Amino acid sequence: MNLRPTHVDDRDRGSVMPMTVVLVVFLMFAAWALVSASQQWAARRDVQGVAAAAARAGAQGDPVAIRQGGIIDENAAVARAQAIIAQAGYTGRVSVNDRTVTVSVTGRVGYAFPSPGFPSAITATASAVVVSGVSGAEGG
Amino acid sequence: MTAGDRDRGSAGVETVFAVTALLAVAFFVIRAIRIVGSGGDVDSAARAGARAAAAEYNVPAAQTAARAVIANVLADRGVACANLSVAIGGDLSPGTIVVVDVTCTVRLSDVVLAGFPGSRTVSGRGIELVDAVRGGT
Repeated sequence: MNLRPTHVDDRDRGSVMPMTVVLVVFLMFAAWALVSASQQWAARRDVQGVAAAAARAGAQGDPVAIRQGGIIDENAAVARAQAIIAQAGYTGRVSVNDRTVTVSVTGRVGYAFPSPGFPSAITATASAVVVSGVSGAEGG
Repeated sequence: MTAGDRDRGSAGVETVFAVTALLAVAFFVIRAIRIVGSGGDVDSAARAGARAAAAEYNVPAAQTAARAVIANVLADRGVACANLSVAIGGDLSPGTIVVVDVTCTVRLSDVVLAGFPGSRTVSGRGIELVDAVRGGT
């Protein structure tokens, strides 16, 4: 036996489909944002890895500088770091301050979907310090 | 016919439609995140492999060391990788660049829907400088 008045059915008519459409659109928006954020995060990891490798490459003892009583040759350090950045297909800046090599790398983010509001490029910075002497095991 | 008779059965159909759409979106998101995450893991493994390769003195030894490190990194990160391929570029002479390219087929069979492939090939690259001043042989 149906005890509900007819006017209640009239008010509810057609309410499920709009709710479903709104829900699906919201979920698609959330999926887009999640995928774009994931790709931005992956690009940041890659750029950061290249910056770290470039900093390590720059912060190496230079044979000429060592013979002259120093440790690091600034021009050679910058060239080594820039070679790593160029090999990775990115651009960056390298600075040498005493024994510290600091590298700032910028790379574009390849989004799967158009992503207005998300950065088109990511910049990451890493630094490495030249240490004189042998810190590993003898003969290693 | 009353208004209740005309609406009868529509809620069930719309619920099926909504649940199907929700499942499709959920599977898409899970697949996309798995692919992007696996790509990042393969990139990290390639970088670790490049560091291992740069410490060796010849290409065969570098290939062996890089492959072992890459397999360990991927296993630690829980990446189910089939057809792992590791390629070494460079001659490992002092001051040169060594490039390690890794290709891996990631299985996605647990999040597969009709019409989508059950696996995806992802690749990563690691770049490292061989020490300009190095001892040993």
